[in-house]
Amino acid sequence: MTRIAPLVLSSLLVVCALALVASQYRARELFAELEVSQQDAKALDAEAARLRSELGRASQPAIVEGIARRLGMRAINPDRIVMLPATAAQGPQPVAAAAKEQR
Amino acid sequence: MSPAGLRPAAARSRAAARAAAGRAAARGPSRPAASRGASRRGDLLTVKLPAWRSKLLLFGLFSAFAALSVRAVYLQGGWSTGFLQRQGEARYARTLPETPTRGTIFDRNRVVLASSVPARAIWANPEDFDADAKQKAQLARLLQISPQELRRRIANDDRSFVYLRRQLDPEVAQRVEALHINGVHSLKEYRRQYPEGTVTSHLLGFTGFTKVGEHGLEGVEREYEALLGGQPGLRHLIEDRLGHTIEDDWLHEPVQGQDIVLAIDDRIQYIAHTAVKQAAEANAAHAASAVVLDARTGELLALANWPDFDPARRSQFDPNQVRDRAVTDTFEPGSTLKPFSVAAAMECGLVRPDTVIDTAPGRLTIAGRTITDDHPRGALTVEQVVAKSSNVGTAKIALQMPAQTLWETLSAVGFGQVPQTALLGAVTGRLRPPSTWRPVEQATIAYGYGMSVSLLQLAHAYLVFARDGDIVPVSVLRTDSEVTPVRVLSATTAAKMRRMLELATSDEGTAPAARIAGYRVAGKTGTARKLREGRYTDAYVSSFVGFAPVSDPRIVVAVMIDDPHAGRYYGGDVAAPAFGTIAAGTLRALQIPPDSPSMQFAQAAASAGEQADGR
Repeated sequence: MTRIAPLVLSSLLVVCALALVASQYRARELFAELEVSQQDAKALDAEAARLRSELGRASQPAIVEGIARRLGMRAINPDRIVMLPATAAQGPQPVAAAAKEQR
Repeated sequence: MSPAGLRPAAARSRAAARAAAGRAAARGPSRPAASRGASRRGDLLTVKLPAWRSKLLLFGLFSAFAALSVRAVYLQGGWSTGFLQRQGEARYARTLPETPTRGTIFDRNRVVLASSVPARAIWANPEDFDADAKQKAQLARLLQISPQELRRRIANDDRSFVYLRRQLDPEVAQRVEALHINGVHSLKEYRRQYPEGTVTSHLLGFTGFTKVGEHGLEGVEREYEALLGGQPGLRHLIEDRLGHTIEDDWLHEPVQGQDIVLAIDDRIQYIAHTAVKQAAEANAAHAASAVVLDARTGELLALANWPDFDPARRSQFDPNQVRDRAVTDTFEPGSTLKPFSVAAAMECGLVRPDTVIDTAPGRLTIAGRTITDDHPRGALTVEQVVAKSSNVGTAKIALQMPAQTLWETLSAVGFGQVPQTALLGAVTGRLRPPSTWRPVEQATIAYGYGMSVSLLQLAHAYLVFARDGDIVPVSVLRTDSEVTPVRVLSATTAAKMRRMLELATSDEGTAPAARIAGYRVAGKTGTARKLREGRYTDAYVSSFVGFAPVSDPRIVVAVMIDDPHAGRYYGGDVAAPAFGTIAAGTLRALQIPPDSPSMQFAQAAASAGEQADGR
């Protein structure tokens, strides 16, 4: 027994040491992957901000108005708004049936 | 195998002689013994050396090893680990600052008003810079700088870092990198973008760079710097031999800039901006501003100024254009202040809307100073005094009450008070304490001279009439919580004032031009002479402040046109039409149902079924 114990223990030690090295290596690999993913996330965030900003630029009221005019659209005129009672149950309460103006 | 065996004999003997001479030279005095033969060598090996020599050597080597061991134990064993750690850190540890991303500014409907997008900075190391003429020309063209400018920057030889161009589009930066010019590099950075450009320029302001990073310099960008900017972080890295990061750790984490949601409505802002620009240009005005407030919440829906500026063209900034006039500039409000004096008098029970005031002959002399009406009229009711904007009538009403009462009402609606609004450069205006008023001043202050206000203050004060006599602070950020209002006037006084102000937009009032189809509007004109170096000049400030719809006010709109000189200068002619445009657009954008009697008629007709199918 006393002969085998050091042998077993030392081989155990070697196995543990190898495992430590392996896990350290794996941890570093994973860390590198994490780093890359974080970079990607940042880049995507930046891209999203850029696209949102672009969207804001494209949907500027001035541009929308210009396009609407080109298409021959006009701003809603109160002359063309008809007020209708909502339902019989609600009585003659006036309700705006104004066509919602498209932005 | 020795090459000597192949050599000729003569060469061999020469070589042997040289070798012998060499040995002789090395040995010096022992030459005879060596040449005598191998039999004497034994003696040489048995030469007695003193025993201490080898011991000394042994001791020396041992102590050298011992010193090394002691040093090793000292450094590694926990007594002084600092040295090795410092050495390790110097080789593998790096500390990098991490700049936070600046927050985005949204309007109330989550439309982006300002955001940071990726950009590149192109820099050069003049020492390494090496490019032929063609490359230089290409580089200058891509960076949009003149070749002379490029040459000047590169010539700066004593520096190893020179920015060639900052805030460049990433695509352009890629093309610069594709030129592969030695000594030209690019850096990642962010650029602030304002999609709405000139429309929101004054309100949002802009940012600028200092050594520590980007900071808001004007407007909302500066006012909310603490929220938007965040805090830079510091990151600790451990790298391997090849520069890959192995471990990281935050010394302190960055606080990313927070997004803020403004009360501004992008569409209303556009409507106000366009109307202000048109009004200013049509009237050849020096400047113009407009403010739109939500009457229920006090939220700032729009704030526009002209002349405006494009935040993307920094080089053309002119302080005259950049200033947010509606907030930072004060002017004598003139007649737009009258409703407050009349309301104060009604609140004291001194007058009622139908009390008759004699304004004939259109002039009134108090302590040697004469107040005049532009259009002299005879006897007017209080209602008509407001609707027709009589200075004499207002002065007569105001002189009936103590100065303190007038001052209290004016202060309660915010005149001369520190603004609660979080907007950069918001001014208090000027309203002197009543104890210093001379009698004529009480009369002039009652109709808006001898005091000054900003347009934002004026719009804010009209909340009192648009709401039922109470007031809430102006909110620049979108608010969802209810603010406790402060009561200034009774609800009945406020209702009577609304009636009077609606009369001002009728055909007999001063501002029929403010009316808009489908809605009942109320408001007051103002036409004040401008003060310059203490004297009243021939320049005017024309204004109109009003609200709509009168049956249930939802918005307050204030318009100010500074120095119109296209012939007309009355507030009712110059500012009221702009008010009409803004109010009509705003009511439509907010989808507020029309409330004018003509619309009720349409409703009656429709409900009778006459038109319902036709439309």
